[in-house]
Amino acid sequence: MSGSFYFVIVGHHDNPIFEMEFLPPGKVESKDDHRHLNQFIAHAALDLVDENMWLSNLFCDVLFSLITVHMRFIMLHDVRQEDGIKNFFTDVYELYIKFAMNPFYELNTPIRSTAFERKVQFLGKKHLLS
Amino acid sequence: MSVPDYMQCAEDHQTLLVVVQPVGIVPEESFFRIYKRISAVSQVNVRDSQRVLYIRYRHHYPPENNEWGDFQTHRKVVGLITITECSSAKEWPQTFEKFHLQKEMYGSTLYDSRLFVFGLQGEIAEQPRTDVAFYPSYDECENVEKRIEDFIESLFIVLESKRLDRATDKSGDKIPLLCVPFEKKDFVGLDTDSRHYKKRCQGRMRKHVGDLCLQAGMLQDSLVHYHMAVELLRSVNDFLWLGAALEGLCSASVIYHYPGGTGGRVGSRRAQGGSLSAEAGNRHRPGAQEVLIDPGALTSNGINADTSAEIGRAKNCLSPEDIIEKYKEAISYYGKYKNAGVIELEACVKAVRVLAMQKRSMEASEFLQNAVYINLRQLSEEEKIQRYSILSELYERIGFHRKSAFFKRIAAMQCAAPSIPEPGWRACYKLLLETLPGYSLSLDPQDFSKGTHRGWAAVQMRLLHELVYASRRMGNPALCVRHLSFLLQTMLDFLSDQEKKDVTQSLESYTAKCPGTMEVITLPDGLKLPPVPFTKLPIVKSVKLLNLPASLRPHKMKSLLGQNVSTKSPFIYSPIIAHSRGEERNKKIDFQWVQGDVCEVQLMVYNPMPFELRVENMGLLTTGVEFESLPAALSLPAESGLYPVTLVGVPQTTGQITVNGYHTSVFGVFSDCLLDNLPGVKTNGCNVEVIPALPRLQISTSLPRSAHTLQPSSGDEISTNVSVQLYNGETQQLIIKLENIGTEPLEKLEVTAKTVNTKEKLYGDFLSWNLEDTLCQFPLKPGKIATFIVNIKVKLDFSCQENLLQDLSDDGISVSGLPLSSPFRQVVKPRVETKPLNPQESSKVGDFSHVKFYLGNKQVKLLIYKCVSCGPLALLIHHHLILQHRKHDCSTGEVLAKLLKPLCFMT
Repeated sequence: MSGSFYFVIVGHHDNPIFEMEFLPPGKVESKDDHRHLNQFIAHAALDLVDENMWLSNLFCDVLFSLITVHMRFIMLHDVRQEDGIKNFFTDVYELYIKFAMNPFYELNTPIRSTAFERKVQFLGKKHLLS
Repeated sequence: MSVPDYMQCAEDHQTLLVVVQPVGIVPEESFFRIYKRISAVSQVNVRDSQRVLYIRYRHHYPPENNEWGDFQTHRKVVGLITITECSSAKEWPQTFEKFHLQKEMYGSTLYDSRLFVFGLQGEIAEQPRTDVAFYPSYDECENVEKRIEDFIESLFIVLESKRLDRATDKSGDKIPLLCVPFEKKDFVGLDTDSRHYKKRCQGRMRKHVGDLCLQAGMLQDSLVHYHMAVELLRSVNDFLWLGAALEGLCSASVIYHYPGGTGGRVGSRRAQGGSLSAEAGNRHRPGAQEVLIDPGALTSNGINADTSAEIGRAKNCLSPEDIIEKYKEAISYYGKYKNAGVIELEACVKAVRVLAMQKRSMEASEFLQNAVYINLRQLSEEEKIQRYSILSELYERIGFHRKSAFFKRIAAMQCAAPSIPEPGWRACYKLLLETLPGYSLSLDPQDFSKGTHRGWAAVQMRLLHELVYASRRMGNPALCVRHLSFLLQTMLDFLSDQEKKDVTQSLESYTAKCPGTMEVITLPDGLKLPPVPFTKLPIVKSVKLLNLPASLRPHKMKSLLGQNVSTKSPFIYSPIIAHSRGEERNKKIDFQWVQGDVCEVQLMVYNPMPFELRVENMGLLTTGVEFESLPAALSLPAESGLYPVTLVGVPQTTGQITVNGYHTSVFGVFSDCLLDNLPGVKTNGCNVEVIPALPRLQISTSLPRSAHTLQPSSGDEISTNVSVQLYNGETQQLIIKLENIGTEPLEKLEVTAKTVNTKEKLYGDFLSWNLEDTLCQFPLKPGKIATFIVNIKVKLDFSCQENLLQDLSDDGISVSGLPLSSPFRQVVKPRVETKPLNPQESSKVGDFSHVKFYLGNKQVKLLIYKCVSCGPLALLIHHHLILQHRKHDCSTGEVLAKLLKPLCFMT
């Protein structure tokens, strides 16, 4: 049994650059109200993420590049699935770095690429909803 | 115990709780005035000892919290001050009765109490009593502070005696078991003689003595007691009290480490100078010779006679890191008891305050996270608001602004929750405003015009919507319009098409009642909401000041002297001048506007909305010159491309005019958009000179207009063509009517004739005029008409026919169809069909014949161009009217010329 997930990449100025929701197959689209709540929670969580960033020495290489780019990946989830989320993050991070290499993509602007979206969707299905 | 005190901090453990309450009818204002004076006495040096008593005043305290007084003595109400108003001696017994009733409420714990009577005079007031003080009025009570100090001293005596009493209990005696209210029934029927039970009693009592020591200002002693209590209670697994002992230990250590206090309350605590600095807390003041009660002396006969010597003083005190560890432990013990939720919550809050002092945000957030999940009984809405607000405040204190904003918003939402019968929209609005910085929002649209967007747009939009809604429910439509305009202006890029429609629709419905203005809205609490000009509705891409139409354009006359002596420097080149010129060029425009003439500014605009945008009352904003703006209304199609809009106005005075911006009215909101604030607007400058009004001349002739243009219209000149066909030798008179249609008199006339052909020798001079007749009518007053007669006499010389024909062919101009009686007419005729008359080719500018007239100080120059294109002679008379205007104070003189209806005719 899997729950629902809300994934967001947040840029320098606390601006979301990519949002996606993963819902278990049976569940219908979440309500708009719910989505707002997710955004509020994710926004409030940034404080903790920023604070952690300087303390934690996990994923040292990831951390370094995240500091330089200062992008934050946040996942809201209602069920425990640490491994899945960790794998998902690692893969999405790789995907994002590849995407950011694109000279036509300006850093810190919303990602409007269907290919990127599709890939994240796929990763979500693979790691989170399986 | 059910009511948490979220304001509590660790150092509150050393305070004595005094409740100040009114009885009978006391005006609230007067009560709080007295209350304020009383609460100013928050720390008292007792007699000559170096010990300091701290007092915590409350004007409201739930009696059920009082029952936890044995658990932590700072929760115990030890003093009661009642304030009452009594006007006559008759009321006195009743009043006194009420005071006694009040005392009974906290009776079990009170050490002492006082009654302050205001307004009573006479013999009752005369009798000296310790527990009652009489004051004639609220204004005449100078010695209130002194009274309070005495009162506190009496509290101290009781406290001290209790402390000594408890501390000297011999271990052999039966120590009573202290317990919290919910424990009472658990101990019924327990074996009171067991070692376990005795140890429990001892432990609790030690903890209690520790509390008393702390309150009595004996920090080091309290630490020792707490340490022993921890040992004792740990051995019997009395977790609730173990937690309390640990917390007491933490509190005492915090007081030692942070004498400035952790509650963030400034002032009073440190008011008594450096006597409470870290070392001073455990050391006698050098000057204090007479020490009434020496902590060391006292403890020597107390239960901890040997321990104080054993454990070094510094060791007793926890290190900053240990404080947190112990707090964690204490909270985990409290967590085992459902009924101790309030204690646990308060301990969390206290720990967070300490961590905030230590700048350890991460750990603090852990404590707060824990506090969020502590479930108390069903909270009332008001309590919920209080709880969220305090969480927000604590998060703010540890630097988690976003988290703080999150909780503040929840508190705001709670204020207007549907379950509340009377929603507090005002409070909700106020709290929402406070959350804005956390969401990187400000209410100044200027902050959004520069750089990239900051913050989470979707969240910000939601918040703005909530502000709009709250202000609407508050019944403040102006505020509502302001927030909604702000939303539309700053979040336009993030709104979906449907949202754009919805927002504008609701904006229009609000502005129908209360139009949006450009005024700053000041809220009652002093916050200013700057106006929101709609600079994006429509978006202006460029602003261009337009020159006047050629017929109205001023021209400089060259005749005046000293015009070009602009460089005052003797050097050919000077970088200074070049620099200043360059600067001027940025703003300066090379044309001028004329007073009284309609002047135009062209804007390129586009509509970013997915529907038609109606812009009303669009006009120019200018400074420098009185300018009558003629507003325009326009309607831009949905998502239009660049769309030119011309804004017009009439300058009423002369001087430098600056076009600052434009004003619009969109969706019922008036906006003044200044160009300086518009990013990425292209402009050709916005400063232009307005010169004094100029005369206008209209010229008409007796001849019919020509269908062809002989002269190409160049930018500077205006021409009209008239034509006439004449046979060789024929003469005709051309009457030119000059009418002054302006408001200024015409003073000069100059006439020039020019043949637009090089072969003048062929045609000779066939124009003649007599200017005198016309000139005597000058200066021409406004509305007057003068006539000018030109005689045309065709006088062609056919003596060199071959050449003439050849020349005509070279010109490539058709001659047919013209009644020229030439023998070569048949030869030329075939060309008619193939080459129709082409005005462009006929327009070779030849020689000029100039005739100039001067009248008064104004000059009219008629330039007559002779233009021959073919056999029948075509003559173009092109005239310039050059009007010269002189100012007395202007040495260079402004020479201006205006071109009016020129004429040209063919012969």
